[in-house]
Amino acid sequence: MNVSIPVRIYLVHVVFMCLLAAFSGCATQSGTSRGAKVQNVDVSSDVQRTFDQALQLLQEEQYDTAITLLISVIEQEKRLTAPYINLAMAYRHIGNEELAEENLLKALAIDQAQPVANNELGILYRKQGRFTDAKKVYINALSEYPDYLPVIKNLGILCDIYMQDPQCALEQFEKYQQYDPEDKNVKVWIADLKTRI
Amino acid sequence: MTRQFSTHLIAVLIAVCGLFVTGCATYNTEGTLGSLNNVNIEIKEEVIVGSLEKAMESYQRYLEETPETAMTPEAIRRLADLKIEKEYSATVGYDSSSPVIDATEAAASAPAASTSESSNSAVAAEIQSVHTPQSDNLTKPGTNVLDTIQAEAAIIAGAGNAASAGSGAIADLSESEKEFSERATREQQIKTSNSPIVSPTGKAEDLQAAGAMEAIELYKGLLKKYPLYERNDQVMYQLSRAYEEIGQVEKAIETLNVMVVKYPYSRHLDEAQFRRAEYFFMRKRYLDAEEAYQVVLDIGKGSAFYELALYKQGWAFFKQELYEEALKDFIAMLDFKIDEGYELEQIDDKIAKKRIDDTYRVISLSFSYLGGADAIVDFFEKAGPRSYEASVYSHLGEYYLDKRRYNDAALAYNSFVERNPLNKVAPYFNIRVIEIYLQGGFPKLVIDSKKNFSNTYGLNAEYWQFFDIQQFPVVLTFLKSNLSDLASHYHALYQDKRLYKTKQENYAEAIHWYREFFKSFPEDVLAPELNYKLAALMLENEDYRDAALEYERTAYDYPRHEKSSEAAYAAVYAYRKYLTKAPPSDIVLVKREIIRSSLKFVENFPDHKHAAVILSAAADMLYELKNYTLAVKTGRQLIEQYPNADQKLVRSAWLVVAHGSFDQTNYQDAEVAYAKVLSLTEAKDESRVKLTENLAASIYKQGEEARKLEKHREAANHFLRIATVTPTAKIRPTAEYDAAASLIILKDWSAAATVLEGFRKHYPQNELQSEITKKLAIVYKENGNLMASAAEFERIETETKDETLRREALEQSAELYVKAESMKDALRIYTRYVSVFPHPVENAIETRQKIADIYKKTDNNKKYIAELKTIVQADSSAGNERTDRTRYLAANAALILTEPSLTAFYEVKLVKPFKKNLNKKKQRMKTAIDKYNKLIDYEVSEVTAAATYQLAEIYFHFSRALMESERPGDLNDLELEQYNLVLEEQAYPFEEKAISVHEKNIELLSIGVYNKWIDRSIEKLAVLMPARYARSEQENTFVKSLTSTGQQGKSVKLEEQLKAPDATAMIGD
Repeated sequence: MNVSIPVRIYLVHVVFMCLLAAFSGCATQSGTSRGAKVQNVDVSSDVQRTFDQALQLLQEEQYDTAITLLISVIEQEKRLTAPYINLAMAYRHIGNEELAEENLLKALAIDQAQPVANNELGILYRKQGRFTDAKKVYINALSEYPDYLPVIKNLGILCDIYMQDPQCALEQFEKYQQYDPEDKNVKVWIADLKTRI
Repeated sequence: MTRQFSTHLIAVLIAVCGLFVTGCATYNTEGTLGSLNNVNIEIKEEVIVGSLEKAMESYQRYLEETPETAMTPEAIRRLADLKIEKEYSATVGYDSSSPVIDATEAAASAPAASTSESSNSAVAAEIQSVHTPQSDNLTKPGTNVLDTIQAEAAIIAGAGNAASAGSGAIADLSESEKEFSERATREQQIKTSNSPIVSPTGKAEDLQAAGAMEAIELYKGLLKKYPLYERNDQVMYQLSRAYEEIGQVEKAIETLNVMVVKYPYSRHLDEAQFRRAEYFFMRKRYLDAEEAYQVVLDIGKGSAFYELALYKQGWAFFKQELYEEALKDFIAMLDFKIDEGYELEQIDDKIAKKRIDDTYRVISLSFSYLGGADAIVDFFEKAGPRSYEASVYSHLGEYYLDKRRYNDAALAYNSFVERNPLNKVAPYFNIRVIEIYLQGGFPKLVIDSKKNFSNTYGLNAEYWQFFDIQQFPVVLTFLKSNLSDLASHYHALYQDKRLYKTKQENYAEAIHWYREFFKSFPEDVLAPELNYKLAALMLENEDYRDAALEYERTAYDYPRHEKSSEAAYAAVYAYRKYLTKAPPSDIVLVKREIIRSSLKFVENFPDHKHAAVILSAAADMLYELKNYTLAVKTGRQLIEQYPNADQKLVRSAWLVVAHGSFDQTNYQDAEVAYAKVLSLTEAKDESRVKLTENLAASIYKQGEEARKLEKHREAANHFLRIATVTPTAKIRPTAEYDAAASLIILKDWSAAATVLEGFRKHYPQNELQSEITKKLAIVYKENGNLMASAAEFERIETETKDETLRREALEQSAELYVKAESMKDALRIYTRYVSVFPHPVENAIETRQKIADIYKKTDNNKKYIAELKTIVQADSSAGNERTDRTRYLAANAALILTEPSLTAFYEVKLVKPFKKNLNKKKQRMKTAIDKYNKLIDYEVSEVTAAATYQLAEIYFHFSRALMESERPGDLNDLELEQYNLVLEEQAYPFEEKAISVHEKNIELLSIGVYNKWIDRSIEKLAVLMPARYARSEQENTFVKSLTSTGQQGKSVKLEEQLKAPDATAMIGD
């Protein structure tokens, strides 16, 4: 019961934010980090169709072809984060971390707090041993999306295993637990951490 | 005139006589004389034909018809006078202005006039001749300066200067002194006075027939009959005249002697005395004459005989050799004429003029007897100055000249000038002096006097501060001629080889007089020609610079004349001659002058036959002075302006254009020009080689220019053009090399390769061959021809001595072989590398690593392991050359080399015979642990992590090996249970050890070490200690929505987010 409150708050918050945006026409935030979300971008059917085809290919693990289509989408439409993020994921899958990072950064240039992009980039940096950079992008995402659970968990793991900062890890996991009190693993992790702190 | 006047008088007399007749008739018949008071007498002048006879008739009738009265003697006298007049045509008029007629004068005047005319013609001729001066003039007489002076007289007459020689026209000196004396002193024919005689008695018919003798009788009768007749002085005068008329001179004089004594106050006294004087003079009774003349003079200037008396008394003194006395009279006579208002130089009356001339002549004679010019000086110092003094000097001068006493003549003129340097006639006198010397044949004196004249009357002389030179055209003309003559004279002397000792003096003189001429007559018609001569003189004297300047002045400072173009050409020539003598410091300046003069010459005289030559030379010199712009312009001017000039000149012009354009970096123009030059150059001409090189250079430079502007295609085309335009040019290899370089920049690898290959083929000995190799290596590489590129790099190593370059070349070569998957070649190159360059050790070990990698890739495990061992060995023995890199490579090599010990450990199964195998496994475990521990000594984090991981795994493996070991077959359940417990107790510490070692690996994270081995340790620990290490990150799946449209406000179920962290849920939220 207790855990339902924060969820409701989250939902109210999201709805409230969007209502605010609706009343203000949303266009007022076009220059902010969340501009892409509030901006009505007219997308041609060709672009949409190509993106959908790429998505299908990604799911079928035909990454090279998907990459080609996504590059095509980006050539026609550079205002949206989704093609960049999917392209980055495709590159990750084929082991090209460099291009993965490059496209994630392009997505973040459009929306700097974009949580998916930040999460992807955080994991990428962690695998490259760039723990500080990873922590920075996680925190960056949480600054606008404090309730985005994958980032909260991944930041906790980063602190726990790789940065050997149990206090930071405990905070993240406890926060996570607030949104998802049923997660047994997290419960165990919290318990483990508490024995070490 | 005289006769006419007399006739008029006669008419008057007749009228008066008529009155007498009428009066008488009235007196006799009708009335008294008193009635005449009421008579209106009308006197008319009319010409009466046969008046003399009528008058005589009247007087005769009067004497016959009227009684003797007081008028009778008068009538008799008149009648006698008329008879004489009729008989001898004696003058009856009385002209006070001309009482004496010199019978010789009329005759003499005619030739004098003709002489004057001829003189004037001579003047005209002389004026003409002055314009064409010749040096010969200096030594050849012919210029009649006297005539010149006469001509000028008219000009200065207006100033009233009696001194003008023109007045006097110098007397006709052609007559001898004796002739002159005789003519000038010939007895004067005196016009008689006319006193009508009224015959007191006698009859007309008697008188009419009497004639002279009758007249004498009449006079004598009259004197006798009427001794107290009041006009008997006149009767005696007439009687004397009558005697003279019939040749009874003695009686005539006796009559006059009586008369002058008896009637000392007679109005005819002056004439009577003058006649007496003349009588004495003619009989050389000069003293008597002198006295008689003096009586006339004493009467005063009112006497009509005053002037003549002075003249003749002067002569009387002269005849007595009393020259000073004579001069006083002559001078007094001239003074008298002036007092009378005459201007001596402007007397029209020929007779009077003749007398003036004669006076001057006798004055000259007198002074000559008194010692010449000095006497004149003395005379006038005593007598005081006279306005006509100059004429006195000039006449004396002319007198001497006539006597061929040239020095005295010159002295006479000079004496005046010395005392009167600022006199108007001074220049003329000087001119006359020159002429006198000329006439006398004194060339040196002529020159000296000419120089003196030129100095004294040059346009800037002091003299002209007092006079307007324009009023002296003759002097001006003479001065001009004089200066010209002097210049020409000294010019001629300069050129006279016999006078070589005074050559330079004559040169200086000639220059001086030429310059004086130009100073005074810069615009004269002769100036250009003289200037040309001056320039020529300077040129001959090798004063080239001055000559050039004068030639230029001749050419350009005058209106165009005959010598203009030649002078302009000569100026250039003189400048060029000067160039050979000019001091080094002036060379450039002189060259500039040559150029300036040359261009001016061509501009002004484009049609001159040498214009093209001069222009060509100027162009050459301009180029020499590095004035390329003007050099090119001048060269082109020649080409365009003189296309038909000598082809050598045209070729030379093209050459200047070519060189100049090249130096101005106008390479395109230079190329055209060089090509033109070559076309005008004979095939055998040796210069073709250099010209070809220049042509090639022009093309090459165009390539360079294009390259600077990064127009590489254009640059390459220019460079390659050389091969076709100038295939023999030395620069061709360089050009082709540069063409290749430009093509490389253009990434036209294929074309670049073609050029480079051509270069290698055509110029095998060229020093750029090594560079060609390098470029080919690059070109082949970029063109994808890896094998060829690798071969070029391999070649580079052999063509250079630079060790670094050699190493790099081998590295490049090997890498290219690797890329071309020609491992055999790659190994060959790497092997050569480590063989040739064992040092630096790091590079060698690096290369060995590559060798090892190839062996590994080619499954040549044996050599691979061997190479790894070599790496480890090389590192360990590197000493000071050991680096982090060598340690890293050696550590990794050692890590691989250690793997067999791990495999050997893993291979031993704990089966029967258990103890033996256990020992064997423990032994191998120990070996492996030792080796892995040894790897940690390299302190290479990655290797350390790997070793640590492997150590942990050894422990974990041993733990698991114990637990999974073969159980003894003879154990019962309990024993087996116990056996298992014992095993577990034995195995557990190894598992703990494995966990501990893995955690050691994770601790490396704290010092910044993170790699796959640490990740693998984490993975292992996640299994061994899941509560602690099992932390799997949550990754996203692909974003499913392209845009945020329709996503806003969409809630995402937490569950979905957690299960499938699809980013779509968050995009747009």
